[in-house]
Amino acid sequence: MKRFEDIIKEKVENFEYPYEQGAWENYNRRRRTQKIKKWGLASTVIIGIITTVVLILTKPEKAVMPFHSKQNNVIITTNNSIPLNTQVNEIKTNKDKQTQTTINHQENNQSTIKQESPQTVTNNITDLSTTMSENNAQNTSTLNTASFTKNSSQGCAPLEVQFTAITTGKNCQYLWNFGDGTTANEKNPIHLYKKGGKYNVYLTVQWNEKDKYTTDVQTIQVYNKPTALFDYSLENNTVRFESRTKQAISHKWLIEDTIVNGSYWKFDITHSGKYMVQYIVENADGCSDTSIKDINVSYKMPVQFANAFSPDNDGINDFFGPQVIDYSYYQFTMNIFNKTGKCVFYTKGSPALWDGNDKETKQSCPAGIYIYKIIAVDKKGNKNEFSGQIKLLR
Amino acid sequence: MKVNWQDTEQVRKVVDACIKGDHLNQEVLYKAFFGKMLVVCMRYTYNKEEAEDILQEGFVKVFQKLKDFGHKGSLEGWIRRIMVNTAIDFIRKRKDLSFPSSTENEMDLMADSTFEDDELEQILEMKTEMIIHFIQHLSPAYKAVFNLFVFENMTHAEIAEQLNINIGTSKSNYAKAKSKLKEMVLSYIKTYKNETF
Repeated sequence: MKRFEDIIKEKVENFEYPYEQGAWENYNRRRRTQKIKKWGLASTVIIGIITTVVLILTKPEKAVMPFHSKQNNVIITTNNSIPLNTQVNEIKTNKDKQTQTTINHQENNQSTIKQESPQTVTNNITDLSTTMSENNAQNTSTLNTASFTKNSSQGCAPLEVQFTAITTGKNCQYLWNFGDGTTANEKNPIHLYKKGGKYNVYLTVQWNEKDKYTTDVQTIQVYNKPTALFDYSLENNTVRFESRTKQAISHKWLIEDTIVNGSYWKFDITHSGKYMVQYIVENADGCSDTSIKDINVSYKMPVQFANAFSPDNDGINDFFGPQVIDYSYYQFTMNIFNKTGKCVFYTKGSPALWDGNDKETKQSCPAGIYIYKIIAVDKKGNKNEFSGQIKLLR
Repeated sequence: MKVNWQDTEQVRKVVDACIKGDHLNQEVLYKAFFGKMLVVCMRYTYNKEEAEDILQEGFVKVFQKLKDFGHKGSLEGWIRRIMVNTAIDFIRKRKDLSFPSSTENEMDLMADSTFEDDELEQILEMKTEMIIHFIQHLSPAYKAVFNLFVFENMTHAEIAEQLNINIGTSKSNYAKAKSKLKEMVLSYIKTYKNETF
Protein backbone atom coordinates (compact mmCIF):
# COMPACT_ATOMS: atom_id res chain seq x y z
CA MET A 1 0.00 0.00 0.00
CA LYS A 2 1.14 3.49 -0.78
CA ARG A 3 2.21 5.69 2.07
CA PHE A 4 0.34 8.88 2.85
CA GLU A 5 3.26 11.14 1.98
CA ASP A 6 3.73 9.38 -1.36
CA ILE A 7 0.14 10.07 -2.34
CA ILE A 8 0.50 13.71 -1.33
CA LYS A 9 3.74 14.04 -3.26
CA GLU A 10 2.36 12.38 -6.37
CA LYS A 11 -0.71 14.59 -6.40
CA VAL A 12 1.15 17.83 -5.80
CA GLU A 13 3.98 17.05 -8.24
CA ASN A 14 1.53 16.32 -11.02
CA PHE A 15 -0.35 19.51 -10.40
CA GLU A 16 0.18 22.80 -12.16
CA TYR A 17 -1.61 26.09 -11.69
CA PRO A 18 -3.02 27.55 -14.89
CA TYR A 19 -1.17 30.54 -16.26
CA GLU A 20 -2.64 33.72 -14.87
CA GLN A 21 -3.52 36.43 -17.31
CA GLY A 22 -1.12 39.35 -16.83
CA ALA A 23 1.39 37.46 -14.65
CA TRP A 24 4.31 38.19 -17.00
CA GLU A 25 3.36 41.87 -17.27
CA ASN A 26 3.13 41.96 -13.52
CA TYR A 27 6.56 40.36 -13.19
CA ASN A 28 8.08 43.12 -15.32
CA ARG A 29 6.16 45.84 -13.54
CA ARG A 30 7.41 44.69 -10.16
CA ARG A 31 10.93 44.24 -11.49
CA ARG A 32 10.95 47.85 -12.66
CA THR A 33 9.85 49.17 -9.27
CA GLN A 34 12.39 46.97 -7.48
CA LYS A 35 15.21 48.46 -9.52
CA ILE A 36 14.14 51.97 -8.58
CA LYS A 37 13.82 51.11 -4.91
CA LYS A 38 17.25 49.50 -4.75
CA TRP A 39 19.19 52.75 -4.59
CA GLY A 40 16.90 54.29 -2.03
CA LEU A 41 17.19 51.18 0.08
CA ALA A 42 20.97 51.01 -0.21
CA SER A 43 21.40 54.50 1.16
CA THR A 44 18.96 53.81 3.99
CA VAL A 45 20.86 50.68 4.94
CA ILE A 46 24.18 52.53 5.09
CA ILE A 47 22.75 55.25 7.33
CA GLY A 48 21.11 52.47 9.35
CA ILE A 49 24.37 50.66 9.96
CA ILE A 50 26.07 53.86 11.08
CA THR A 51 23.30 54.81 13.50
CA THR A 52 23.08 51.26 14.87
CA VAL A 53 26.77 51.20 15.61
CA VAL A 54 26.54 54.56 17.34
CA LEU A 55 23.53 53.51 19.38
CA ILE A 56 24.94 50.14 20.38
CA LEU A 57 28.14 51.79 21.55
CA THR A 58 26.22 54.20 23.70
CA LYS A 59 23.25 52.27 25.10
CA PRO A 60 23.53 48.56 24.44
CA GLU A 61 21.08 47.44 27.17
CA LYS A 62 18.09 48.94 25.36
CA ALA A 63 17.88 46.10 22.91
CA VAL A 64 16.35 43.63 25.35
CA MET A 65 12.68 44.03 26.04
CA PRO A 66 9.96 41.89 27.59
CA PHE A 67 7.92 39.63 25.35
CA HIS A 68 4.42 38.36 25.36
CA SER A 69 3.05 34.97 24.54
CA LYS A 70 0.31 34.10 22.14
CA GLN A 71 -2.61 31.83 22.43
CA ASN A 72 -2.79 28.96 20.05
CA ASN A 73 -5.76 27.15 18.69
CA VAL A 74 -5.95 23.47 19.29
CA ILE A 75 -7.96 21.26 17.03
CA ILE A 76 -9.79 18.45 18.66
CA THR A 77 -11.48 15.95 16.46
CA THR A 78 -14.62 14.56 18.03
CA ASN A 79 -16.90 12.15 16.20
CA ASN A 80 -18.21 11.86 12.69
CA SER A 81 -21.51 13.68 12.99
CA ILE A 82 -20.19 16.90 14.45
CA PRO A 83 -17.42 18.10 12.18
CA LEU A 84 -15.14 20.06 14.47
CA ASN A 85 -15.09 22.11 17.59
CA THR A 86 -12.88 24.96 18.48
CA GLN A 87 -11.25 25.37 21.80
CA VAL A 88 -8.83 27.95 22.85
CA ASN A 89 -6.42 26.65 25.40
CA GLU A 90 -3.94 28.43 27.51
CA ILE A 91 -0.58 27.15 26.56
CA LYS A 92 2.60 27.21 28.49
CA THR A 93 5.24 29.32 26.96
CA ASN A 94 8.38 27.46 26.19
CA LYS A 95 11.87 28.65 25.76
CA ASP A 96 11.83 29.32 22.03
CA LYS A 97 11.61 33.01 21.79
CA GLN A 98 13.18 35.56 19.61
CA THR A 99 13.56 39.22 20.08
CA GLN A 100 14.12 41.56 17.29
CA THR A 101 15.02 45.17 17.01
CA THR A 102 14.21 47.33 14.08
CA ILE A 103 15.63 50.68 13.41
CA ASN A 104 13.58 53.30 11.69
CA HIS A 105 14.94 56.28 9.91
CA GLN A 106 13.64 59.68 9.34
CA GLU A 107 14.79 62.07 6.71
CA ASN A 108 16.50 64.41 9.12
CA ASN A 109 18.86 61.57 10.08
CA GLN A 110 17.49 61.35 13.58
CA SER A 111 16.76 57.79 14.41
CA THR A 112 14.56 56.08 16.90
CA ILE A 113 14.52 52.53 18.10
CA LYS A 114 11.26 50.69 17.79
CA GLN A 115 10.63 47.43 19.51
CA GLU A 116 8.66 44.92 17.57
CA SER A 117 6.71 42.73 19.87
CA PRO A 118 8.80 39.60 19.96
CA GLN A 119 6.97 36.61 18.74
CA THR A 120 6.95 33.56 20.75
CA VAL A 121 6.16 30.35 19.09
CA THR A 122 4.93 27.69 21.35
CA ASN A 123 4.31 24.13 20.69
CA ASN A 124 2.58 21.73 22.93
CA ILE A 125 1.39 18.25 22.36
CA THR A 126 -1.75 17.05 24.05
CA ASP A 127 -2.90 13.58 23.13
CA LEU A 128 -3.58 13.62 19.43
CA SER A 129 -3.62 17.35 19.03
CA THR A 130 -0.72 19.45 18.02
CA THR A 131 -0.50 23.16 17.85
CA MET A 132 0.05 25.32 14.89
CA SER A 133 1.01 28.89 14.67
CA GLU A 134 1.66 31.35 11.91
CA ASN A 135 3.38 34.67 11.92
CA ASN A 136 0.40 36.42 10.40
CA ALA A 137 -1.23 37.50 13.62
CA GLN A 138 -4.01 34.94 13.47
CA ASN A 139 -3.47 31.40 14.48
CA THR A 140 -5.03 29.22 11.91
CA SER A 141 -6.68 25.90 12.12
CA THR A 142 -8.06 24.75 8.87
CA LEU A 143 -11.72 24.05 9.08
CA ASN A 144 -13.07 26.09 11.92
CA THR A 145 -11.42 29.33 10.95
CA ALA A 146 -12.64 31.55 8.18
CA SER A 147 -10.41 31.09 5.18
CA PHE A 148 -10.79 31.66 1.48
CA THR A 149 -9.01 31.52 -1.82
CA LYS A 150 -9.39 33.69 -4.90
CA ASN A 151 -8.61 33.00 -8.53
CA SER A 152 -6.62 36.19 -8.89
CA SER A 153 -5.18 38.72 -6.50
CA GLN A 154 -4.37 41.43 -8.98
CA GLY A 155 -5.27 42.60 -12.42
CA CYS A 156 -6.58 45.39 -14.55
CA ALA A 157 -9.95 47.03 -14.09
CA PRO A 158 -12.60 45.82 -14.63
CA LEU A 159 -11.43 42.74 -12.72
CA GLU A 160 -13.68 39.80 -12.06
CA VAL A 161 -12.61 37.70 -9.10
CA GLN A 162 -13.97 34.34 -8.08
CA PHE A 163 -13.81 33.90 -4.30
CA THR A 164 -14.01 30.48 -2.75
CA ALA A 165 -14.61 29.91 0.93
CA ILE A 166 -12.52 27.00 2.13
CA THR A 167 -14.35 26.94 5.40
CA THR A 168 -17.16 24.44 5.28
CA GLY A 169 -19.58 23.13 7.81
CA LYS A 170 -23.23 22.71 8.51
CA ASN A 171 -25.18 25.92 9.07
CA CYS A 172 -22.24 28.14 8.26
CA GLN A 173 -23.15 31.73 7.47
CA TYR A 174 -20.87 33.60 5.10
CA LEU A 175 -20.52 37.34 4.96
CA TRP A 176 -18.28 38.83 2.34
CA ASN A 177 -17.16 42.42 2.31
CA PHE A 178 -15.43 43.12 -0.98
CA GLY A 179 -13.84 46.35 0.22
CA ASP A 180 -15.52 48.52 -2.39
CA GLY A 181 -18.74 49.05 -0.48
CA THR A 182 -20.46 45.86 -1.58
CA THR A 183 -21.17 42.66 0.31
CA ALA A 184 -22.50 39.17 -0.41
CA ASN A 185 -23.77 36.14 1.49
CA GLU A 186 -23.08 33.31 -0.90
CA LYS A 187 -20.39 30.78 -0.19
CA ASN A 188 -18.44 31.29 -3.41
CA PRO A 189 -19.27 34.69 -4.87
CA ILE A 190 -17.94 36.28 -8.03
CA HIS A 191 -17.23 39.96 -7.76
CA LEU A 192 -16.45 42.57 -10.36
CA TYR A 193 -14.09 45.39 -9.41
CA LYS A 194 -14.81 48.28 -11.72
CA LYS A 195 -12.18 50.77 -10.61
CA GLY A 196 -8.49 50.62 -9.79
CA GLY A 197 -7.39 50.50 -6.17
CA LYS A 198 -6.29 48.28 -3.33
CA TYR A 199 -9.20 46.46 -1.74
CA ASN A 200 -9.29 44.52 1.50
CA VAL A 201 -11.66 41.59 1.20
CA TYR A 202 -13.13 40.24 4.42
CA LEU A 203 -14.82 36.91 4.83
CA THR A 204 -16.60 36.45 8.12
CA VAL A 205 -17.91 32.98 8.85
CA GLN A 206 -20.45 32.51 11.58
CA TRP A 207 -20.85 29.09 13.12
CA ASN A 208 -23.84 27.33 14.61
CA GLU A 209 -23.62 29.34 17.77
CA LYS A 210 -24.46 32.93 17.15
CA ASP A 211 -21.53 34.42 18.96
CA LYS A 212 -18.90 32.35 17.25
CA TYR A 213 -17.38 33.83 14.15
CA THR A 214 -13.98 34.32 12.61
CA THR A 215 -12.70 36.52 9.82
CA ASP A 216 -10.13 36.21 7.09
CA VAL A 217 -8.81 39.22 5.20
CA GLN A 218 -6.93 39.30 1.91
CA THR A 219 -5.99 42.04 -0.50
CA ILE A 220 -6.96 42.56 -4.12
CA GLN A 221 -4.95 45.00 -6.21
CA VAL A 222 -6.83 46.40 -9.18
CA TYR A 223 -4.90 48.54 -11.64
CA ASN A 224 -6.40 51.37 -13.61
CA LYS A 225 -6.96 50.85 -17.27
CA PRO A 226 -5.91 53.42 -19.88
CA THR A 227 -8.40 54.71 -22.45
CA ALA A 228 -7.37 54.36 -26.07
CA LEU A 229 -8.07 57.60 -27.96
CA PHE A 230 -6.73 58.90 -31.26
CA ASP A 231 -7.20 61.51 -33.99
CA TYR A 232 -6.54 61.18 -37.70
CA SER A 233 -6.26 63.36 -40.78
CA LEU A 234 -5.87 62.59 -44.48
CA GLU A 235 -3.52 64.33 -46.86
CA ASN A 236 -2.24 63.09 -50.26
CA ASN A 237 -3.33 59.49 -49.75
CA THR A 238 -1.60 59.42 -46.35
CA VAL A 239 -3.53 59.14 -43.12
CA ARG A 240 -1.78 60.54 -40.11
CA PHE A 241 -2.86 58.93 -36.87
CA GLU A 242 -2.03 60.60 -33.60
CA SER A 243 -2.50 59.25 -30.08
CA ARG A 244 -4.50 61.23 -27.57
CA THR A 245 -3.93 58.76 -24.73
CA LYS A 246 -1.77 60.07 -21.95
CA GLN A 247 0.40 57.99 -19.63
CA ALA A 248 0.76 55.15 -22.05
CA ILE A 249 4.10 53.35 -22.34
CA SER A 250 3.24 51.40 -25.46
CA HIS A 251 1.17 52.18 -28.53
CA LYS A 252 0.25 49.73 -31.26
CA TRP A 253 -1.58 50.47 -34.49
CA LEU A 254 -3.16 47.91 -36.72
CA ILE A 255 -4.73 48.28 -40.14
CA GLU A 256 -5.41 45.27 -42.35
CA ASP A 257 -2.31 43.17 -41.67
CA THR A 258 0.11 45.97 -40.84
CA ILE A 259 1.18 46.57 -37.24
CA VAL A 260 3.35 49.45 -36.09
CA ASN A 261 4.47 50.88 -32.75
CA GLY A 262 4.68 54.52 -31.69
CA SER A 263 2.48 57.37 -30.60
CA TYR A 264 1.80 58.40 -34.21
CA TRP A 265 1.60 56.66 -37.53
CA LYS A 266 1.55 57.69 -41.16
CA PHE A 267 -0.38 55.18 -43.19
CA ASP A 268 -0.56 55.22 -46.99
CA ILE A 269 -3.99 54.30 -48.29
CA THR A 270 -4.39 52.35 -51.53
CA HIS A 271 -8.12 52.64 -52.11
CA SER A 272 -11.18 54.61 -51.23
CA GLY A 273 -13.59 53.34 -48.63
CA LYS A 274 -13.56 51.99 -45.13
CA TYR A 275 -10.45 51.10 -43.19
CA MET A 276 -10.70 49.42 -39.81
CA VAL A 277 -8.12 50.87 -37.44
CA GLN A 278 -7.23 49.23 -34.15
CA TYR A 279 -5.30 51.27 -31.65
CA ILE A 280 -3.95 49.47 -28.59
CA VAL A 281 -2.35 51.27 -25.65
CA GLU A 282 -0.67 49.87 -22.57
CA ASN A 283 0.18 51.78 -19.39
CA ALA A 284 2.98 51.25 -16.87
CA ASP A 285 0.78 48.90 -14.86
CA GLY A 286 0.55 46.59 -17.85
CA CYS A 287 -3.10 47.35 -18.44
CA SER A 288 -4.26 47.88 -21.98
CA ASP A 289 -7.19 49.24 -23.92
CA THR A 290 -8.17 49.00 -27.56
CA SER A 291 -10.04 51.47 -29.70
CA ILE A 292 -11.47 50.25 -32.98
CA LYS A 293 -12.61 52.81 -35.52
CA ASP A 294 -13.80 52.58 -39.10
CA ILE A 295 -12.44 55.47 -41.09
CA ASN A 296 -13.85 56.49 -44.46
CA VAL A 297 -11.31 57.92 -46.86
CA SER A 298 -11.25 58.68 -50.57
CA TYR A 299 -8.22 57.74 -52.54
CA LYS A 300 -6.75 60.11 -55.10
CA MET A 301 -5.04 58.30 -57.96
CA PRO A 302 -1.51 59.41 -58.76
CA VAL A 303 -2.45 60.37 -62.34
CA GLN A 304 -1.02 63.47 -64.02
CA PHE A 305 -1.82 65.42 -67.16
CA ALA A 306 0.12 67.73 -69.40
CA ASN A 307 -1.49 71.03 -70.41
CA ALA A 308 -0.21 71.03 -73.99
CA PHE A 309 1.02 68.63 -76.72
CA SER A 310 2.37 68.82 -80.26
CA PRO A 311 1.34 65.87 -82.52
CA ASP A 312 3.98 66.29 -85.23
CA ASN A 313 5.58 62.85 -85.06
CA ASP A 314 8.91 64.19 -83.82
CA GLY A 315 8.85 61.84 -80.87
CA ILE A 316 8.38 64.63 -78.35
CA ASN A 317 4.93 65.22 -76.84
CA ASP A 318 3.16 63.64 -79.82
CA PHE A 319 0.32 62.25 -77.73
CA PHE A 320 -2.00 63.44 -75.01
CA GLY A 321 -3.20 61.13 -72.25
CA PRO A 322 -3.08 60.41 -68.54
CA GLN A 323 0.51 59.98 -67.28
CA VAL A 324 0.96 57.09 -64.89
CA ILE A 325 3.81 54.89 -63.78
CA ASP A 326 2.19 51.62 -64.81
CA TYR A 327 -0.46 51.65 -67.56
CA SER A 328 -1.40 48.04 -66.94
CA TYR A 329 -2.73 49.02 -63.53
CA TYR A 330 -5.50 51.20 -65.03
CA GLN A 331 -8.41 51.17 -67.41
CA PHE A 332 -9.28 54.54 -68.90
CA THR A 333 -12.31 55.90 -70.70
CA MET A 334 -11.22 59.10 -72.43
CA ASN A 335 -13.30 61.66 -74.38
CA ILE A 336 -11.90 64.76 -76.06
CA PHE A 337 -14.21 67.60 -77.04
CA ASN A 338 -13.55 70.63 -79.19
CA LYS A 339 -14.64 74.19 -78.34
CA THR A 340 -18.11 73.65 -79.81
CA GLY A 341 -18.65 70.60 -77.63
CA LYS A 342 -18.26 68.03 -80.39
CA CYS A 343 -16.50 64.85 -79.44
CA VAL A 344 -13.44 64.49 -81.66
CA PHE A 345 -11.77 61.54 -79.98
CA TYR A 346 -12.68 58.72 -77.62
CA THR A 347 -10.93 55.59 -76.41
CA LYS A 348 -11.44 52.82 -73.91
CA GLY A 349 -8.66 50.79 -72.36
CA SER A 350 -5.05 51.36 -71.57
CA PRO A 351 -2.95 53.21 -72.51
CA ALA A 352 -5.26 56.09 -73.49
CA LEU A 353 -3.49 58.32 -75.92
CA TRP A 354 -4.82 60.93 -78.38
CA ASP A 355 -2.75 61.48 -81.51
CA GLY A 356 -4.34 64.86 -82.32
CA ASN A 357 -6.59 63.43 -85.10
CA ASP A 358 -10.35 63.40 -85.35
CA LYS A 359 -11.33 59.81 -84.68
CA GLU A 360 -14.08 59.68 -87.36
CA THR A 361 -12.65 61.77 -90.18
CA LYS A 362 -9.01 60.72 -89.52
CA GLN A 363 -8.12 64.37 -90.25
CA SER A 364 -5.71 66.36 -88.08
CA CYS A 365 -7.50 68.52 -85.60
CA PRO A 366 -6.59 72.20 -85.76
CA ALA A 367 -4.45 73.83 -83.11
CA GLY A 368 -6.37 75.24 -80.18
CA ILE A 369 -7.90 74.42 -76.78
CA TYR A 370 -9.66 71.07 -76.27
CA ILE A 371 -11.43 69.63 -73.24
CA TYR A 372 -10.77 66.14 -71.83
CA LYS A 373 -12.96 63.98 -69.66
CA ILE A 374 -11.33 60.82 -68.36
CA ILE A 375 -12.64 58.10 -66.08
CA ALA A 376 -9.91 55.95 -64.57
CA VAL A 377 -10.45 52.60 -62.86
CA ASP A 378 -7.49 50.83 -61.25
CA LYS A 379 -6.99 47.19 -60.40
CA LYS A 380 -8.17 47.75 -56.84
CA GLY A 381 -11.48 48.97 -58.21
CA ASN A 382 -10.88 52.63 -57.39
CA LYS A 383 -12.64 54.99 -59.79
CA ASN A 384 -11.57 58.62 -60.32
CA GLU A 385 -12.84 61.20 -62.80
CA PHE A 386 -10.57 63.81 -64.31
CA SER A 387 -11.40 66.71 -66.60
CA GLY A 388 -9.50 69.73 -67.84
CA GLN A 389 -8.16 71.67 -70.80
CA ILE A 390 -5.42 70.68 -73.22
CA LYS A 391 -3.72 72.95 -75.74
CA LEU A 392 -3.01 71.39 -79.14
CA LEU A 393 0.05 72.96 -80.75
CA ARG A 394 0.85 72.76 -84.46
CA MET B 1 5.91 30.39 -30.38
CA LYS B 2 5.59 26.79 -29.35
CA VAL B 3 8.46 25.15 -27.55
CA ASN B 4 8.89 21.48 -26.91
CA TRP B 5 10.74 21.51 -23.60
CA GLN B 6 11.85 17.91 -24.06
CA ASP B 7 13.80 18.87 -27.17
CA THR B 8 17.27 19.96 -26.03
CA GLU B 9 17.92 21.87 -29.25
CA GLN B 10 14.80 23.99 -28.80
CA VAL B 11 15.55 24.55 -25.12
CA ARG B 12 19.06 25.66 -26.04
CA LYS B 13 17.66 28.19 -28.52
CA VAL B 14 15.27 29.68 -25.99
CA VAL B 15 17.90 29.78 -23.25
CA ASP B 16 20.46 31.46 -25.52
CA ALA B 17 17.93 34.08 -26.60
CA CYS B 18 16.98 34.71 -22.94
CA ILE B 19 20.63 35.20 -22.01
CA LYS B 20 20.88 37.81 -24.76
CA GLY B 21 17.93 39.54 -23.13
CA ASP B 22 15.32 38.70 -25.73
CA HIS B 23 12.06 39.68 -24.13
CA LEU B 24 9.84 37.41 -26.21
CA ASN B 25 11.79 34.28 -25.29
CA GLN B 26 11.90 35.29 -21.64
CA GLU B 27 8.14 35.62 -21.74
CA VAL B 28 7.78 32.16 -23.30
CA LEU B 29 10.02 30.64 -20.62
CA TYR B 30 8.22 32.45 -17.81
CA LYS B 31 4.80 31.36 -19.01
CA ALA B 32 5.90 27.77 -19.51
CA PHE B 33 7.17 27.32 -15.95
CA PHE B 34 4.84 29.68 -14.12
CA GLY B 35 2.27 27.05 -13.11
CA LYS B 36 4.67 24.38 -11.89
CA MET B 37 6.92 26.82 -10.04
CA LEU B 38 3.97 28.49 -8.36
CA VAL B 39 3.13 25.10 -6.87
CA VAL B 40 6.70 24.81 -5.53
CA CYS B 41 6.51 28.29 -3.98
CA MET B 42 3.04 27.71 -2.59
CA ARG B 43 4.27 24.69 -0.63
CA TYR B 44 6.78 26.77 1.29
CA THR B 45 4.54 29.71 2.09
CA TYR B 46 1.48 30.69 4.00
CA ASN B 47 -0.54 32.21 1.17
CA LYS B 48 -0.46 33.11 -2.48
CA GLU B 49 0.93 36.60 -1.92
CA GLU B 50 4.02 35.17 -0.25
CA ALA B 51 4.30 32.48 -2.90
CA GLU B 52 4.19 35.08 -5.65
CA ASP B 53 6.90 37.11 -3.90
CA ILE B 54 9.18 34.08 -3.98
CA LEU B 55 8.21 33.26 -7.54
CA GLN B 56 9.08 36.83 -8.53
CA GLU B 57 12.45 36.74 -6.81
CA GLY B 58 13.08 33.24 -8.16
CA PHE B 59 12.47 34.25 -11.75
CA VAL B 60 14.72 37.30 -11.36
CA LYS B 61 17.48 34.90 -10.29
CA VAL B 62 16.63 32.46 -13.08
CA PHE B 63 17.14 35.13 -15.73
CA GLN B 64 20.29 36.42 -14.02
CA LYS B 65 21.89 32.99 -13.69
CA LEU B 66 20.68 31.44 -16.92
CA LYS B 67 24.13 31.86 -18.44
CA ASP B 68 25.45 29.41 -15.84
CA PHE B 69 22.82 26.78 -16.64
CA GLY B 70 25.13 24.97 -19.08
CA HIS B 71 22.46 22.46 -20.20
CA LYS B 72 23.50 19.82 -17.70
CA GLY B 73 20.29 18.14 -16.72
CA SER B 74 16.77 19.42 -17.30
CA LEU B 75 15.92 23.11 -17.38
CA GLU B 76 12.86 22.52 -15.25
CA GLY B 77 14.93 20.83 -12.54
CA TRP B 78 17.41 23.68 -12.60
CA ILE B 79 14.69 26.37 -12.34
CA ARG B 80 13.06 24.38 -9.59
CA ARG B 81 16.27 24.27 -7.54
CA ILE B 82 16.52 28.04 -7.77
CA MET B 83 12.93 28.37 -6.59
CA VAL B 84 13.54 25.98 -3.69
CA ASN B 85 16.71 27.84 -2.67
CA THR B 86 14.86 31.14 -2.83
CA ALA B 87 12.10 29.65 -0.69
CA ILE B 88 14.60 28.30 1.85
CA ASP B 89 16.30 31.72 2.06
CA PHE B 90 12.87 33.18 2.60
CA ILE B 91 11.87 30.80 5.41
CA ARG B 92 15.28 31.15 7.08
CA LYS B 93 14.67 34.88 7.33
CA ARG B 94 11.32 34.36 9.01
CA LYS B 95 11.34 35.24 12.64
CA ASP B 96 8.77 32.61 13.57
CA LEU B 97 10.84 29.66 12.39
CA SER B 98 11.48 27.80 15.58
CA PHE B 99 11.90 24.10 15.70
CA PRO B 100 10.35 22.35 18.66
CA SER B 101 12.40 19.37 19.73
CA SER B 102 10.77 16.36 21.25
CA THR B 103 11.74 13.24 23.08
CA GLU B 104 11.92 9.75 21.63
CA ASN B 105 8.77 8.77 23.53
CA GLU B 106 6.72 11.41 21.82
CA MET B 107 8.02 10.23 18.51
CA ASP B 108 6.73 6.75 19.15
CA LEU B 109 3.23 8.18 19.36
CA MET B 110 3.64 9.43 15.81
CA ALA B 111 3.77 5.96 14.34
CA ASP B 112 2.15 5.71 10.93
CA SER B 113 -1.56 5.38 11.29
CA THR B 114 -3.23 3.36 8.57
CA PHE B 115 -6.04 4.40 6.31
CA GLU B 116 -9.30 2.81 5.38
CA ASP B 117 -9.50 1.97 1.68
CA ASP B 118 -12.25 4.48 1.04
CA GLU B 119 -10.29 7.18 2.81
CA LEU B 120 -7.32 6.55 0.56
CA GLU B 121 -9.59 6.84 -2.43
CA GLN B 122 -10.96 10.09 -1.15
CA ILE B 123 -7.49 11.55 -0.73
CA LEU B 124 -6.78 10.60 -4.32
CA GLU B 125 -9.98 12.34 -5.39
CA MET B 126 -9.30 15.46 -3.36
CA LYS B 127 -8.59 18.65 -5.21
CA THR B 128 -4.85 19.22 -5.20
CA GLU B 129 -5.39 22.91 -4.42
CA MET B 130 -6.87 21.79 -1.12
CA ILE B 131 -3.86 19.61 -0.30
CA ILE B 132 -1.55 22.53 -1.05
CA HIS B 133 -3.73 24.69 1.16
CA PHE B 134 -3.28 22.23 4.02
CA ILE B 135 0.49 22.09 3.52
CA GLN B 136 0.49 25.89 3.68
CA HIS B 137 -1.27 25.71 7.01
CA LEU B 138 1.45 23.63 8.65
CA SER B 139 3.59 25.67 11.02
CA PRO B 140 6.63 27.21 9.30
CA ALA B 141 9.03 24.71 10.84
CA TYR B 142 6.94 21.65 10.02
CA LYS B 143 6.34 22.94 6.55
CA ALA B 144 10.03 23.48 5.86
CA VAL B 145 11.08 20.02 7.01
CA PHE B 146 8.15 18.27 5.35
CA ASN B 147 8.81 19.97 2.02
CA LEU B 148 12.53 19.28 2.02
CA PHE B 149 12.12 15.64 2.99
CA VAL B 150 9.15 14.68 0.84
CA PHE B 151 9.42 16.91 -2.20
CA GLU B 152 13.12 17.74 -2.38
CA ASN B 153 14.19 14.21 -1.41
CA MET B 154 16.69 15.51 1.12
CA THR B 155 17.91 13.33 3.96
CA HIS B 156 17.44 14.42 7.57
CA ALA B 157 21.19 15.04 7.75
CA GLU B 158 21.00 17.38 4.76
CA ILE B 159 17.93 19.14 6.14
CA ALA B 160 19.65 19.58 9.49
CA GLU B 161 22.60 21.22 7.79
CA GLN B 162 20.42 23.36 5.57
CA LEU B 163 18.25 24.68 8.39
CA ASN B 164 20.94 24.66 11.06
CA ILE B 165 19.14 22.28 13.41
CA ASN B 166 20.10 18.85 14.64
CA ILE B 167 19.09 15.62 12.93
CA GLY B 168 16.79 14.51 15.73
CA THR B 169 14.85 17.75 15.50
CA SER B 170 14.46 17.31 11.76
CA LYS B 171 13.14 13.79 12.26
CA SER B 172 10.67 14.72 14.96
CA ASN B 173 9.44 17.79 13.12
CA TYR B 174 8.90 15.69 10.03
CA ALA B 175 6.91 13.11 11.96
CA LYS B 176 4.77 15.80 13.54
CA ALA B 177 4.25 17.58 10.25
CA LYS B 178 3.09 14.39 8.63
CA SER B 179 0.74 13.59 11.44
CA LYS B 180 -0.65 17.10 11.42
CA LEU B 181 -1.22 17.01 7.68
CA LYS B 182 -2.92 13.63 7.92
CA GLU B 183 -5.16 14.94 10.62
CA MET B 184 -6.19 17.92 8.50
CA VAL B 185 -6.83 15.80 5.43
CA LEU B 186 -8.82 13.22 7.37
CA SER B 187 -10.99 15.74 9.17
CA TYR B 188 -11.63 17.44 5.86
CA ILE B 189 -12.71 14.19 4.28
CA LYS B 190 -14.97 13.45 7.22
CA THR B 191 -16.57 16.87 7.07
CA TYR B 192 -17.28 16.44 3.40
CA LYS B 193 -18.73 13.00 3.95
CA ASN B 194 -21.32 14.48 6.26
CA GLU B 195 -22.15 17.45 4.17
CA THR B 196 -24.77 17.49 1.53
CA PHE B 197 -24.16 19.94 -1.25
